[in-house]
Amino acid sequence: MKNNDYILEVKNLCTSFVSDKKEIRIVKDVSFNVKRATTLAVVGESGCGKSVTMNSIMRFTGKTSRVTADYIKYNARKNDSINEYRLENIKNPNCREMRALRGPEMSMVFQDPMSSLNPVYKVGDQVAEGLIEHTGMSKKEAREKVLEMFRKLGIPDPEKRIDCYPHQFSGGMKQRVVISIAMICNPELIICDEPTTALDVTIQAQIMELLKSLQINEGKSIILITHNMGLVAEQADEVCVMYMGRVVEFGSREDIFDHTSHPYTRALLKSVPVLDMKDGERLATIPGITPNPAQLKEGCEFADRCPDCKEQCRKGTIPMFEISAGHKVRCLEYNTFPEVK
Amino acid sequence: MSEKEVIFKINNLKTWFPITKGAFKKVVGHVKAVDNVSLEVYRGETLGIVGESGCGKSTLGKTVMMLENPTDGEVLYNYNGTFKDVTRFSKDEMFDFRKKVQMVFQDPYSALNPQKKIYTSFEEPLKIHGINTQEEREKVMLRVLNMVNIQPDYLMRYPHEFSGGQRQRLCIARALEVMPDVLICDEPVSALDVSIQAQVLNLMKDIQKEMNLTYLFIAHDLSVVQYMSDRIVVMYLGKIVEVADKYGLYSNPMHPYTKALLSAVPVPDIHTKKKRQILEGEVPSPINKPSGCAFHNRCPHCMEICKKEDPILSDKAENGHKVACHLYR
Repeated sequence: MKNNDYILEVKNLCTSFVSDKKEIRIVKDVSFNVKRATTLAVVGESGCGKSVTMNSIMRFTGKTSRVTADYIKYNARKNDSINEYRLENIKNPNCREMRALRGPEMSMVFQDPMSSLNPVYKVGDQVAEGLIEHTGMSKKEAREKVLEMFRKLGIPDPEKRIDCYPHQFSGGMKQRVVISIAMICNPELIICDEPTTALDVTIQAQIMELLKSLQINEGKSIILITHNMGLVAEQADEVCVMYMGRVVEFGSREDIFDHTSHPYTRALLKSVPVLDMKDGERLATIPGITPNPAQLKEGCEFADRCPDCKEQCRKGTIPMFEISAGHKVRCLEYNTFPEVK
Repeated sequence: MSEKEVIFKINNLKTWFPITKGAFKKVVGHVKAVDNVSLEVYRGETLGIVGESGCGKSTLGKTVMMLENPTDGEVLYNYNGTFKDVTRFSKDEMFDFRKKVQMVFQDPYSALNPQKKIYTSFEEPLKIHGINTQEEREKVMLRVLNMVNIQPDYLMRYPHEFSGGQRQRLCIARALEVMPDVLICDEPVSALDVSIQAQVLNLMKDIQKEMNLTYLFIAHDLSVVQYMSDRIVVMYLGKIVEVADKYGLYSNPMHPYTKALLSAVPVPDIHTKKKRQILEGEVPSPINKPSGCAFHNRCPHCMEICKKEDPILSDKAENGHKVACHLYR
């Protein structure tokens, strides 16, 4: 595949944080590619590094962090030509080049809509801010654009709602406003960090429908961070499963659900209750708790909780194996397959 | 259902919160958080209560526990065959009632005092409820810790040393110390990770069998509720819209709201294609509810009568399947 087909290519991304004069590695050698106009779902439990990975790409990780990577390529498509940006070379996370990317090229939707809006500004002004900053549009033109975006995202009565404050909106509507902030400069890549975790199921269904229609009708690429396997099954084209800062399984939706290969993914799928469970059937549990990232031992991070743990699992770093085209698993069970560099 | 013993009977319970205005705190309206709810809970069952946020499910749980004062209605508790109204209890009776009914809260991070050791937090309810010697208290503590699979030497630790799942297990253990008959669980697993959630749910099922507990299981996650419950109550804007056993509710949902709620749950299976029924709009404010059926402005089957008349909850199918909807008359 040419680099034309991928919008984002990440190779060996590492992020570490310094705390108590110790450096703790949170994200370790994460590599993945996002195909243009598809949805990549990143799943894992809290603390597995999925948000930190995305924040590292957007350079939101703050001063105590260190981000390194072989490459983070962002391939912007403008008028049929490809512009390649190398994000790993950007030294200052707030330099002009990075700021020009955030918004018009890639943008982010955060988990909690209640705290990602400023309570003392009208929502219309908050949405228009990015537009005025990046395109130098006049306030009047920007307002028209915001109204158009509100209509597109299904906010009822936009002429009135544009002058409301965030507290006058319900949770689902606030999340729509946050999505319109992310969408207003027409970016190609939208990173959604648990966009519906704080919302009810019926509202979640509305928001997910909206994201899917953005992907299909407008060709947006979406990275969806979630812990809900149900959402993954419905939304994703490709799935990336993370555990303790590493990608443990990567593949298409069919690979993950029909040929589940890593023990962690299997356990994750089995431990959620589904609607049509039989009587007396018990949930499978993953024994133990997620380890503290500061006290990780050698070998596979999942070894202590894995039902099929063997002796060699506790030595060295476990490589990725490609068990079918595009389906990669980090587990020694598959060491007969070719290794992925 | 006649052979089952009723442990709780809730009759026309209303919990309204007044909205005040001006310097003299004039009451200008009410938030009808729980509005005319009638319900029976049987001994030994798990009654699941589901609904979206703001539908009054937590307020219902708190009112049953008398942590909120009801505006009207009665909560009858079965004292060996005679029903006593909890809402009219004196202080002493209330004290006794709290031994029988205990509550587990949503957030295990704020339910334990961070400045006290687990031992102190665990000792307190036992001291209050009259177990006077230290040996006896320790015996009880060890017994409940054993039930939730936590090592006894952890008693000397502080809450911050535990993970979320362990803390929720500790909260359950503390509630079990006084040997209650009923445990009201207000979203006990929604703050936990999926792998930990499964551990806590299985544990709660085991404890129920062991102690013949009755659970009032309040949650917003329908699949979790189905896994735990025998019967399920669906609430919308302070009212019960459907009551059914779990098979009836999931195989034959009758109320349009229940149908929409069930179809909105994402299924972790890529081969079952189900028809999504997406509800328009959001839950209206409980301050000025729509006239007639509260659901009529979002309902795909709305009729003229729905706008005028509030449907009554009544038996519409076998096994006590009750629905409040004009579609089934």
